[in-house]
Amino acid sequence: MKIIECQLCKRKCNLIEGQRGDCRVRLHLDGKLQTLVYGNPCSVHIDPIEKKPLFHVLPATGAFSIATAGCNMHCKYCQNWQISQRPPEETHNYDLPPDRVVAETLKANCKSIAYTYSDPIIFYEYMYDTAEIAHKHNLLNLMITAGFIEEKPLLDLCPHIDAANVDLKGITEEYYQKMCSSELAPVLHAIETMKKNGVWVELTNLIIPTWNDSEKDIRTLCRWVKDTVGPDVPLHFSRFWPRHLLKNLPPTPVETMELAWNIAKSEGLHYAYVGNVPGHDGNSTFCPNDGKLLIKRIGYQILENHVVDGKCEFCKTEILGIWS
Amino acid sequence: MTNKQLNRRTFLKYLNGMLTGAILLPLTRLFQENKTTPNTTVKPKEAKYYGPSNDELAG
Ligand code: SF4
Repeated sequence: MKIIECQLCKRKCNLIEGQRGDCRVRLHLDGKLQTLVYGNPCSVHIDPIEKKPLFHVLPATGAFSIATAGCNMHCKYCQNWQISQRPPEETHNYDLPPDRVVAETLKANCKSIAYTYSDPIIFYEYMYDTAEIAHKHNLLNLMITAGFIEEKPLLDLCPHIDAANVDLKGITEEYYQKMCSSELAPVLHAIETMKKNGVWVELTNLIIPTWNDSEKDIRTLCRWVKDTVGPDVPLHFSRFWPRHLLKNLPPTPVETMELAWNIAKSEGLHYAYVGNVPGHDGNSTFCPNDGKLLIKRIGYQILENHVVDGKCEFCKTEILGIWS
Repeated sequence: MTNKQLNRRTFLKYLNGMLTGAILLPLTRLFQENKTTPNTTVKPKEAKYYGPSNDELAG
């Protein structure tokens, strides 16, 4: 019996005829591997780019956001499990081929397309073709991902992706294994690969009570970020809210979020953020040189912006990101 | 307007509501069913990045 191996993500599923991969959207059919979600997103929304979160990319603009059913991750806390843990036959899908995604993006006056909600790695071909067309129309491509991808497809994709928010879910193999049935090392490698290949990278770390909220874990994570991809990579700490299989846990206390924010700053990270706590100072961007408030945010809303031509308006320090 | 007229009007309103509900409910069900039944837009397309597996079956 012929078995084929999917070489897109690190799961490397071995599939016999008629079998689907772990992500539910790739099928061994007629001796070939087939994607079942090309041009068929189940979620189509216009979001503020801040929601991704990408805080250093075209602030206050809209991101045309799409996702298909399926995911190669199975996180216990998934907020989008209704689409991520389902095959495409069980979601309500739109017929939206790549050229129409771009046309709709332009029509909606959005500056970027975000491949998001579920992990876009599993709709790789759809994302890739859309991104190619989007670049021809001067749109940015944003990938919101867990980064659990093989090196070759990632390297092929990097030239078409302008910015990525990578979910760095924790900093131990044990956490990745128990929480997401996954692995940490390939994710760290993917973050480095994206950074080296010109993708603007921001990171998100969801802090979950009793799972990854120890001072030691947070410090280790911050040190890895600073030492490996540098202090200018923004790190978003996100507050956990009980969801999916983790409804037994309380929301992350705001004090824990503040602890993480302070650790990141004390470890020398220039841009640490606190997410899911609207109105907290950690929603905003401060100049790493003079400490002045640069972009004042409340949640996804921008109230002030003092980044001018990619620099601090006051001391002219360069603020890394994609600002125009 | 007398109390009697008011009552009649209220009664007609209820009747109208009930009739509309009786007609619309099955229609809503129909749409809900449409949403949850497998949709037909899933079309396979050859994927990238795959090859023969090294895990050949023994025997
Ligand atoms: S993309 Fe899907 S089929 Fe391919 S290896 Fe990953 S989980 Fe398996």
